[in-house]
Amino acid sequence: MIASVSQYILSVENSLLMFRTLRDIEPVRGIDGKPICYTGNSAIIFKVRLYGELKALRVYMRHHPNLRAIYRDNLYPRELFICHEGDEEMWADVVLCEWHEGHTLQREIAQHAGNSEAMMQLAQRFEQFAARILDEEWAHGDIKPDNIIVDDEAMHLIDHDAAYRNGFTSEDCIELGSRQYQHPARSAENFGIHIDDYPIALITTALYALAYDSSLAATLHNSDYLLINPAHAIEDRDLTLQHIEELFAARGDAYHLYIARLLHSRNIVLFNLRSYLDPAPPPACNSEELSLNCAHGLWGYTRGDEWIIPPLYDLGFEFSEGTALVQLGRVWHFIDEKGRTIITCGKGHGIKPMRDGKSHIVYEDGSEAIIYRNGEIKKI
Amino acid sequence: MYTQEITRCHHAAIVIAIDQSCSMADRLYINGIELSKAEMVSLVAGRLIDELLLRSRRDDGYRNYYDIAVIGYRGEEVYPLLSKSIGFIPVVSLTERDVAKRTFPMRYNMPKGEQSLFFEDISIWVEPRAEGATPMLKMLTTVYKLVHKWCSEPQNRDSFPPIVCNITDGEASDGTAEQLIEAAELIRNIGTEDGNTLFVNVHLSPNGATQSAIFPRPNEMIAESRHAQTLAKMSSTLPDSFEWYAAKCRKDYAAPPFLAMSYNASISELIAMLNIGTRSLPPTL
Repeated sequence: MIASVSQYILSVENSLLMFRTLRDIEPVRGIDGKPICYTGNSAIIFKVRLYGELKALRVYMRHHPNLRAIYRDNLYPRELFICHEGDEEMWADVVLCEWHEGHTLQREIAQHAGNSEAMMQLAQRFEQFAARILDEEWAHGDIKPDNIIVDDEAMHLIDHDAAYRNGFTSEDCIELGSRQYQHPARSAENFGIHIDDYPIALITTALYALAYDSSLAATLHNSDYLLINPAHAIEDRDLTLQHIEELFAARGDAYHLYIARLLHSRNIVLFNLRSYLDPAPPPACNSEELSLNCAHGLWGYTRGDEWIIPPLYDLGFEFSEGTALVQLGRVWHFIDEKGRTIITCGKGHGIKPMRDGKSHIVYEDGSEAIIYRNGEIKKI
Repeated sequence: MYTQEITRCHHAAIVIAIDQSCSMADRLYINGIELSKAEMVSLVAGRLIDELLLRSRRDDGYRNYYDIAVIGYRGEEVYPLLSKSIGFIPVVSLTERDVAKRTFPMRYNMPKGEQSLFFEDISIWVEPRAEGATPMLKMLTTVYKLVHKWCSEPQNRDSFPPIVCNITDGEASDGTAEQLIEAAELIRNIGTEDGNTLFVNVHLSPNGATQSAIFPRPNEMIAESRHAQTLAKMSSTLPDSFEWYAAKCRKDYAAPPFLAMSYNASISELIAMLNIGTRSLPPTL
């Protein structure tokens, strides 16, 4: 038997008769008098009250073999009897979770897109939140803005149905997440701790891009994608991603350019993602202690064996007069000993490190300028 | 194939074609409830559309996951039943309508085996109607044009293929069995990159006591009436990705292929069957 959504709703409305143990559940009703609920791919989620406390009740419409491993004691197997005309008994598994009052990240993005300041706050909050997720020993499996609730205090992941838990094998993989956010190569075979890498990198990239360029908000309307199409990205044919990379390069945002570039990866494990997501501030040091060094084709700065400014730059020069000249994409910048961009010079094919408080650049169009240590740029 | 997720940019097209000929005034019993076939169809269509709306509801409101067309055929003509002209409308547009409700008594099993009567409010999106002849061939020609146009639109190229549900008692007045089968085949041959159109027949016969069947195997239809056999030949074969659900609905372990059809099936079986096509199924692993 397969029941309709309205039959599941009818069962929850008659909780006293239909629940095996959770008979005191009361569905919370909206202004139309109907239970507040929405339908996901495999479960219907109800806002309910149990002993005065708000809860999210997930009622499963399909058998899901991993619920015990994922939700542990919050699972009530075969808990809800489903009203139907058939002659066989039909019981649904339910999961009782914390109810987070707030909006989905999807809704927050729709509300704030076009407002650079609000988007920057959202991007920073998401980045910190995502870094904590990557530190866990589990993976969510379906990270997308619809599955993140934002409230005044924090962000919360909901819907863990596609989750990876320690000890799971490819046979435990029954969902592959939403393809608009997942790496195109995601499959049961690569089910593991790194399945969240790609969606985290994608959402982080998109949120910072929206913060830097509010005109990108126009492309969000009626689109399944959050600016970037993963299938196009890994084939290097996503024009929005190209624009975003140029945007980050022009801003001197080396960390987020690195993360954006990871979206081209053919591998679902994104190299060094966690190191560059919400990184710890570099230790205090004197620029004279720093040496230019290269790793994996990118340039950064070390003190002894320790990376102080990680390898993020396409080209770099040694520090001089407290600044180092670095290149991101085709754009030159001067950075300080903490890796902060202090002067953005632009695109040029002839530029020199700072000497006697100034530098000289020949732009791509052949024009020239003097760049002063205080950030002033004078065309000559 | 038949794995494309239904999303805001990849809608699913649902066509519900309703036989409104005079034979739909006949009475039938299903699950102990007596209704005219026209009332039954109104109930089935209402629950399906309500279901589509419920499945479109998200935290931030309704999302336009479905393009829907509901048409009736009676007399000599085919009529739009949800819109002013024959064509698809976005399912979210229905949320703005003030639709009448009718309370239907539904007899449901309870946890301890007893039965209980519930009263369900079903939206009457389609008024019961029964008059004139049964221009099923004309309906098929209309559906062909509708589905062909939808599949030709670039934004639908990668979408889940259209689902056509024909709810009828099976007796066409404007074509032979061969013509109907050929017309249905033309519809089934139109599709998207994700598969060909699924043509589902919901066959209502007047006698509720006769054998019912859902997702029959082709050889199970041999003993049925000529009309039922014609509808069976018009129906799609369920794709691989639906076989698990079909077996679950049938409650047996029969081997596929299964036909996208129900015959004398009860209300819940009809709803169950129609839901299947609208679900976003995960890819077969």
